[in-house]
Amino acid sequence: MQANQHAAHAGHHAADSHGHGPTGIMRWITTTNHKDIGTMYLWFSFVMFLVGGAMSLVIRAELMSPGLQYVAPEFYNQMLTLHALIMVFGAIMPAFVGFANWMIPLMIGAPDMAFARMNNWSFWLLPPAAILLTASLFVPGGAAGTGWTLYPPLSVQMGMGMDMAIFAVHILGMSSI
Amino acid sequence: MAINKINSCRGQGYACLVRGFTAGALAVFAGLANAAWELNLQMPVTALARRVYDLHTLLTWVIFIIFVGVFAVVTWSIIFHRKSRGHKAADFHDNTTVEIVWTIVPTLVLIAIAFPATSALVEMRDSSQPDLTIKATGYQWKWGYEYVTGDAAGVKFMSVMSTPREQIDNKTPKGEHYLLEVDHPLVVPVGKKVRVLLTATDVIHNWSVPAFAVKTDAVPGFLRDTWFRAEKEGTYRGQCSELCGKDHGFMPVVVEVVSAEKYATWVAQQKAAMAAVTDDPTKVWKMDELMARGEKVYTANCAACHQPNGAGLPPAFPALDGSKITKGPKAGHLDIVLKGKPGTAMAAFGAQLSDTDIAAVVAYERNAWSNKLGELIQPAEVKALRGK
Ligand SMILES: [Cu+2]
Repeated sequence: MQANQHAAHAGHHAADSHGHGPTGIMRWITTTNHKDIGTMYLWFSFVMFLVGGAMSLVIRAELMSPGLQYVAPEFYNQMLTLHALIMVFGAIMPAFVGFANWMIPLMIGAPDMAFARMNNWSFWLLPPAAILLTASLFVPGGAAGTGWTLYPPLSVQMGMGMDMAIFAVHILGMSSI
Repeated sequence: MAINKINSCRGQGYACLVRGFTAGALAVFAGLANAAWELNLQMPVTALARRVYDLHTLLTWVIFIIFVGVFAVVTWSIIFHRKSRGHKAADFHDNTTVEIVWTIVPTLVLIAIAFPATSALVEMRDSSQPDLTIKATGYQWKWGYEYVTGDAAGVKFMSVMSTPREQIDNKTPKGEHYLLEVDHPLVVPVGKKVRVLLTATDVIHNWSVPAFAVKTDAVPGFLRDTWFRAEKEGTYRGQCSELCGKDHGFMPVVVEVVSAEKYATWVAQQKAAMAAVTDDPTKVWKMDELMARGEKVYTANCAACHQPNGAGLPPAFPALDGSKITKGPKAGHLDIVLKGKPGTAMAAFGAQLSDTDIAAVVAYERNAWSNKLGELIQPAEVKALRGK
């Protein structure tokens, strides 16, 4: 017990005396700086905007004229569903959070966000959720094709893409708490 | 066209004048454009739909006036109260008069729009004392209609989209009612209050006819209702309006409103046809008869998912050609067709199809493509399995 405490204290001391934080990818994974986190949110949101936007291009290209042109109806439904989920949870909400992270401490004169490590975690929950959502396109049966409401019993007819989408939405929800 | 719309306002009050004005404005487009340029709601053919139409127009004007008012003030402030013009910002704090005004004015606006909206909604929900009642059941992806009361009580049929596949695949030019046509439309008499009971067997669908201002979810396990009283004979078209899977866009609603005489003739025809097609349940069918009948049943009920060539669309819709079920024991195959498979899109066809149809389609699936099992299935075998 005492030894542990001593070790922890020593570690802490070592980190303090280090002078500057970790470099490379660890700088971003461990950052508690509200501007760093805000920047990551904004870049993430922009990437998701491009992904969701590409899906809406598929939808619009198909709708440009009546009849089936480029995609099958079930794939169209998957594009529709993923476009909605990605744009709402992956683009719009993180964009707001990104701006809030950047601006609010500056506006109220605070040195940083409260619970700075939680703030970092909120961001780092997003990439796994985004990967789950987009990867669900490539599993057998494809992504959820139910529209963003995911209404049962239609949702029960989907393959494992549906499970991935549900898990992803839960992670996204946890991130926004 | 637009002139008719304006003239039809006689004695219907202010809201209708508004409607006429909008229709007149749209007539500018009508000269140059076709159906693709229709911007407003469909012309109503029931009293209730007219109320909904007028309500929509009224609210659009209210919104328009508020929009213009707010943005006029904003624009004026931006232009004339800018710093570069030497405008000094006011520095007062609190103004009780203004706060009271901006609370009371929106409250009045809300009450003024909530009153007509709520009373229309109450009327919409009042499906009491119908002249006839029809049950509409949503299936993936077609509608089933059953006349519950009225002259046609007992008449029931499936209403399946009749647009040819070639039009959807752009191999032939699109017809006039592309995706809005069915083999058997719902037929109702003009001027009668029709109550529609709604349910579904698989997923949530929505029965919608814009000209009647009717749009109600059909939810499996629940019975909901809506009603309409069409004032004009004609064919009215709508679509399933709740995303219900891959062929959601291919299950239109078509209602034919006919005169009382035409309706009576239609009812007589339906009853005669139903009596004629009732198969003898004890008949022993031969292979070629079963295959011919089975192919028809398969095309109408199974081919959308399992595909005309039996290859399916795996993994959601498994192949029947060479599958374990179609090549396995007869009883297991019949069972899945009769009772469906929970948790998948496979519906229970026991309630939809007769013993003969089920015997024929199962025999067809077991003998078509590469499944040459050479087995016959008779209606009596299906009947024996039904109870179990
Ligand atoms: Cu539907």
